[in-house]
Amino acid sequence: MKQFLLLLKGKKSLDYSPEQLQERLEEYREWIATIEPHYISDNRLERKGAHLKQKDQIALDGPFLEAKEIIAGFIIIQADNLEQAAHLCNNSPLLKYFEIYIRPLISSQ
Amino acid sequence: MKENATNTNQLAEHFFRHSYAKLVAILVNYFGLPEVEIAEDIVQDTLVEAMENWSIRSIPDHPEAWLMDVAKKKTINLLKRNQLYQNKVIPSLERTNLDSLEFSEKVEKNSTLKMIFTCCHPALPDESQIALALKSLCGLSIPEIASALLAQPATINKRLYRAKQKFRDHSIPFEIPTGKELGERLDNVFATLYLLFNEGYYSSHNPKMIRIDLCYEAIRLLKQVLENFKQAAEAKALLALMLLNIARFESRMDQQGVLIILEKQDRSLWDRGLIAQGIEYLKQSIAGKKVTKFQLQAGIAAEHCIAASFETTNWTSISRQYAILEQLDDNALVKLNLNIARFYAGEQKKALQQLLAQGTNPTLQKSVHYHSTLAVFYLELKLKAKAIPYLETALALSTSTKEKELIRKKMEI
Repeated sequence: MKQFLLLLKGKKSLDYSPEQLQERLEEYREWIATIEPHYISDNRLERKGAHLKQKDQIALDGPFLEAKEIIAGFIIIQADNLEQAAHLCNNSPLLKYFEIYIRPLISSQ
Repeated sequence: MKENATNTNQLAEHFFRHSYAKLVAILVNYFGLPEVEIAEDIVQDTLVEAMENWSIRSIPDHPEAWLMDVAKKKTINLLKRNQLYQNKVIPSLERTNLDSLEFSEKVEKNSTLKMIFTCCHPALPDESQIALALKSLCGLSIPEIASALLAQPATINKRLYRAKQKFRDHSIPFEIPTGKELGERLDNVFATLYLLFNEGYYSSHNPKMIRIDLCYEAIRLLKQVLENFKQAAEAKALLALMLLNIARFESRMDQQGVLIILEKQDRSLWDRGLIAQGIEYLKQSIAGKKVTKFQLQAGIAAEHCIAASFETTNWTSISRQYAILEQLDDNALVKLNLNIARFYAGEQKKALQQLLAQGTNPTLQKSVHYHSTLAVFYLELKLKAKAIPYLETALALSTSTKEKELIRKKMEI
């Protein structure tokens, strides 16, 4: 089994109604339950952040950064290969709101 | 997270919507009605944060308290930012005491009640009241309200804008009325909730026909009012009316979504539990001194609910109640219903004559129901030739495909 990092990048604005937000939450929880054997960990990222291109060039993300450009969070899963990882993501409700980058992690051994 | 995946804790249905409404009410209580938009923004932001957090971690044991906590932090941050600004610009401005910001259940109940009175304020046009109630009391978004009320989102925006303008010019108070004013304002609340219920129940333009959600929202809000004004007989009568109508929901449409008339409804589908509750509230409402419109309408609905069949319905009692209702509410539709009840109570000739005599009434001339009723009377009296022109008029007047189907069926009889 190999581990994969899934990076979530927003593709729509975050302007959802309370009912839609709740639906999203429920969809996500259902999906996570279905991939449980593959699941390792995940986390959301706060919207604020900083960007350094080189020394002394610190760009702080303001609150005005467009939601769609934000890396919103990551998930780490395990799968046999990239194809299987991609297949798992393909059924994710997250695809409605995010683009998903899948990158294999290099094992430390 | 693994624990989360197997965690069975679920949020109540419409939890986010209803929490939205509660939190907006609390914040408006704090910021004042003119700043309702700031309150809405903070709450929206809070819900997004909840969605993001709870996706990963398990849903907290007290999700509502969690939301309140986050909304409070966001509010304090905003106020601090404002204060910073104001301290620079207007140094003399008194500091707001941030610690006094309270988010308890008591404050929530009180704020929600104030919000109910506000949304049902008589200074707002009816259509704004309903849109506002759906937004601020039920937590629906503008596109959702537009689809529920079959209007364009831009139209809903306009209606809400008009209401918020009134808030901004301070012509509507954010308070629970007291003394003499209370009774009148409660009547306004009942009238608006009745409109909201009917909007869900008799939605003749909607292909879905019955939007049960709106009905349940009206019932939920009315129960909230009743909780605070336990003696309000009129609230009980209205609640009885709503429950007795909603009890018959299941039987109102066939599998293809075509409306079924009362006579043909499968009475075994009627919800006995809701009927029992409705009748209980109706009984309690009789403690009120005077007979009211809602009470009579509930009484009529109750007669239908307890009848074993269309034929064995106590039409005499129904026509009697309609006759009293007619004295309280001299409106063409009541007269129409009165004559329908009379017809089935055995006074066929009188009912037909009275109904024909109302043919000049402008409301009835445009009413599909009026023309199809006359047609049904003639059909019952085996005078099909006389029924046909009325069915044709009804067909021409109807704007609902489902209703048209019903009328065509009658033509084939």
